[in-house]
Amino acid sequence: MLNFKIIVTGGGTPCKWRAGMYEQAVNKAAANHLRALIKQHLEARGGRKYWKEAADAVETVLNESGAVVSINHRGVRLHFYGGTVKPTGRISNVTGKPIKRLLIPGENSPLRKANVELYELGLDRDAVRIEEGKLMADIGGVPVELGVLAKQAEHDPDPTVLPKPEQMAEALHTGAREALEILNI
Amino acid sequence: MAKNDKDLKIGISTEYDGSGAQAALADAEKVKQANTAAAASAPQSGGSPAAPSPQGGGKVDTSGEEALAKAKENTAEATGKATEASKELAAARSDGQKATTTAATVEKTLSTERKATADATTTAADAEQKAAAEVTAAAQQKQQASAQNTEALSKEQQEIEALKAQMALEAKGRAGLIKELERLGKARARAAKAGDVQAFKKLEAQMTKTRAAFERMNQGLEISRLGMMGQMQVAMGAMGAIQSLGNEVNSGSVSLMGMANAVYALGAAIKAGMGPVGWILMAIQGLSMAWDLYSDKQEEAAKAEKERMEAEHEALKKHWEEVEKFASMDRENTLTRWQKDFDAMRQDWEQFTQQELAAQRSADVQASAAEERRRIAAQSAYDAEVARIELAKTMGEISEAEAISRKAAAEEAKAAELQAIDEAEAHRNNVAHINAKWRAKREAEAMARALEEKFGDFEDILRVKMPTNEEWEALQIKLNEGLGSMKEREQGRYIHSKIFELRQMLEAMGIAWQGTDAELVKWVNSMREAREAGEQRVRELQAIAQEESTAAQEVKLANENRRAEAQADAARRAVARQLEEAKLQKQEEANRLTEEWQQKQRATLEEQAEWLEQTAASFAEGSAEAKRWAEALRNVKIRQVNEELNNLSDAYKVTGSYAEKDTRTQVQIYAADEKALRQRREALERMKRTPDLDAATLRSINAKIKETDRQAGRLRGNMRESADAAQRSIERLKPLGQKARGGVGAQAALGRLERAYVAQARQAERQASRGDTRGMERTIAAMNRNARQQERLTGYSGRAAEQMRAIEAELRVVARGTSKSERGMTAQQKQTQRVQAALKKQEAAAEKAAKAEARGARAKEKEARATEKGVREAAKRTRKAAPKAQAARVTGEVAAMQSAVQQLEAENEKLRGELARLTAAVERCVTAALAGATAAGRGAEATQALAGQLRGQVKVLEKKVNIIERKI
Repeated sequence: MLNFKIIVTGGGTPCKWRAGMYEQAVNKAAANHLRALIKQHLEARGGRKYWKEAADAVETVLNESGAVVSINHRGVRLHFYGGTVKPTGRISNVTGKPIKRLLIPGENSPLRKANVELYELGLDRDAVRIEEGKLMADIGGVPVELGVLAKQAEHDPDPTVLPKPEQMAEALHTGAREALEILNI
Repeated sequence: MAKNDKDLKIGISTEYDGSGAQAALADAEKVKQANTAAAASAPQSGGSPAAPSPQGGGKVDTSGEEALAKAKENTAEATGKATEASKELAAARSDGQKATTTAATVEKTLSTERKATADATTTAADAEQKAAAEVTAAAQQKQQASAQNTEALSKEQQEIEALKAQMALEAKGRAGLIKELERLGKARARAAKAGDVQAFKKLEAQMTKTRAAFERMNQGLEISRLGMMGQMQVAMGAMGAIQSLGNEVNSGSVSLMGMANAVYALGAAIKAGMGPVGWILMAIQGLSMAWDLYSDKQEEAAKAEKERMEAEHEALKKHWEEVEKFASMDRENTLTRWQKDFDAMRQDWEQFTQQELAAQRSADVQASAAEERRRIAAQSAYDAEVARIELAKTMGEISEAEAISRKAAAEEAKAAELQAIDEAEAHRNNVAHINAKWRAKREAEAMARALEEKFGDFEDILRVKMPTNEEWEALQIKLNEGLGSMKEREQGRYIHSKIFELRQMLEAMGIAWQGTDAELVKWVNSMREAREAGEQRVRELQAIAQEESTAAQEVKLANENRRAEAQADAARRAVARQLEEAKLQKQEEANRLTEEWQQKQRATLEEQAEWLEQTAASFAEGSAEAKRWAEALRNVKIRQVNEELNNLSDAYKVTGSYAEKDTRTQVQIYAADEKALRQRREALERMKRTPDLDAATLRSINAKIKETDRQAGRLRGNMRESADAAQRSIERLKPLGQKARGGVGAQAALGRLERAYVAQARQAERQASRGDTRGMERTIAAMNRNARQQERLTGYSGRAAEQMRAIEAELRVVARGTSKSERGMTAQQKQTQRVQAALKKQEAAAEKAAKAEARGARAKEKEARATEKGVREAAKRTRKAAPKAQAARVTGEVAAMQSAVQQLEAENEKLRGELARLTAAVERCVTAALAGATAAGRGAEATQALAGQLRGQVKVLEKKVNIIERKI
């Protein structure tokens, strides 16, 4: 989890700060600004569907220690931090056996086009075959490449998933300033 | 995939760093200390560090007024001692420097320099080209001379570029430059007001460049114009610029930096306008030109002037040779030295002023920021204190009057703090103002010194003593006389003699004149004009001094401001005094309120004490009354108990009359008796529980209880006996049932015997008809046995009927008496069920017997309707109908018995519950009465104790009030 800390200094009314009256308001405003920034950033990343869904999944939660802006979408964390993806070993809906390999659909794969999983195509075990590490199927009498089978997939970290730290800090600063102006400190 | 790859989280938290307020307080404290220190040291040091003096005139450690006085003195002395100084200097330099330099080189450099500058003014393009050519030539020379020094080269390049920029500026023309300067001046004033240091510096640099270009152009103009009055006009214009700038500085609209630059401009203008060349030309050329032209500042006039200037320039070029001839004296060294000194002075001033101003500005900014922080801290402290007081007042820790007084104190402290900050700020501003004034005065002073030195140089160059006014007048008179008489008389001798006199006079003055007489006359006139110009210059210097005196007046005004501030201080003190009085009034008000509050409190406490005493007395009375009431209540209770005891009947049999006995079963009778006994027992126990009973009543109650128990025991014995009787009767019923079953067998046997008897009778008839006598006798004997057997069986049946009657009687007994206990009931019910089953079987047997009898009777009627046995059969049938009706009656009796027993049970339960409730209620009443009596006693004691305490408190308060009164 990335952490930002806003430190308010200077004069003003320290007794109210000591009572903890303003921190939550500042956190909320800053988090809202940050959420708007991240949403805009994710929407601007392009793509057919994925990043738009990720942009819709940005949420703000206030808790005791402050505020948390989270992107509740599968794979965003993997994109940002990078990492290795391995098969979970769950029982396949197609073969009925534990899954041992990942199926990575290509650009022209019907899986990717329809944004569905393998079993949702209605293909059973006999309809698909493996050729040179690729999962092939005959759909309408035409051989179609469903995807590449891999033992594991490695993702490099992509810091551009989030806006630049300066932009985020600026958004937080703007939000905090806004809150402080509204609070008339 | 990892589990937590779904969400990407960014945490945000906020803190407040309260150290800023502490830092502000600390800064405010520092500023306060610094201000007090500055205020302490201001009168001695004038609040400013000693500036480096360009003339080495000594350190200035006095205040502004003293410095001004000294400057005035310096100026007066400078003008007064100019001649003496120049004399001494001339003597010294004529000895030392004349021999060390060569006139030829001086003239050469001078002529090239002047030619170059003069050419530069013809056209901007020419000037640019020429200057560039010059500079590049110089750069090439330098490069050749020091080829390895690349830094110098780069500097040269920079200079070239700067010069090009200057040329570009000059190309804008004079009017354009003036407009540019005005624009830059306004922009710079705006930047100075806005406090934008960078923009100010930038504009400053730009303005310096523009002004340099302007000066260059002016220089060229002046040189080309070559008019003494024009030069003076330039100087006067510069003076005017200085004056306006000085006014601006004094009014605070322009900073000191602008003043310094104006001073540089002045120096440059003097250098250009009144440089040595100008003075030399003044001495040679005369003063007839260009006043009106130069005074016309319009552009058309300027154009015309330019044309004329060009023509003059041509004339000037022709005249240069003469000038150079005249300037064959040893002055190059002096000129260079003066130039260098002036440049060094200017650089020193520039550097120093910039440094000092920057330091001053940053210090001002820091100090004002610290003051602002200190103000905020004071306001915060006041807010916090007010909040504290409000809280204390709300919590009731302090009274309203005390809150008012404490608030007033806090407000006063805040006001004092803010006033201290304001005073510190005013003091700082005042010090800065005085510093600015002092610096302006010092710069003017330095410029005056520079001018003095220049005068000295001029005299040095000419190597003459400037004649006094009287001498000049005498010369003029002589000249006029000579000229007038020359017109009137013959020219030759008179003029010659006059000129001879002049020559002699000049020789006496140390001037060897080698020109013609006309030139001499011209020269004398020009010298006179020069003298006038010199006097004019002195007047202008006096004007500078006047400026300084204006600055002094400013200082004076500052002092007046100080006085006004002192008055304001006095007013503030008066206000403070009024505040003090108001505070005293508030204090008195607070004291009065406190006193009133105390009195009110005391009265309230006294009232409370009185009320409590009354209450205690009433409680004591109430306690005695309660005791009496309790005693009476006890007596009443005992009396009630005794009456109740006497009214309690000793009889334990409730059912007295036979009529009642007939309508009730034995079980109901027993239940009623037991209920009565139980009620009596419970009443007695309740009486026994009555508190504070006397011994006699208790004894009688115990006796009654014993009696009741005894009666109950008897009742239970009776019930047990009747239950046993029922048990016994049921035991007796068992064989009876068996016998009844045996009776049924007898009936069957009887039927068989009858049928056998009929068969034997038929056999006897057949044997009699056959004549078998013996067989007939055997058959009759068998018939007789059969008849006897039938008689026996019939007798047995009669006994069975008797047995059934006995059963009926026993069952009646059973129905009347049974055990009260549940177990007995169950056993009784079981027995009853068994009896019912037995009776049913018996009934069924009886029915069967009846049917068999009916069948036997029908068979008998056919054959022996007339026989006596038929009669007996009929009698038997009537007897056998009896057990059936009896059984039905027994069944109804048993059911009624069961329902009665259940009803009794329910009634018993209900009564038991009511009794328990009543007992509990009575107990509660008695307990409450007792508790009330005890509490009344205790309350009386507690009230007395509280009254005693309150009396003590009242005494203490009275003592306090007395003390307060004494204090008041």
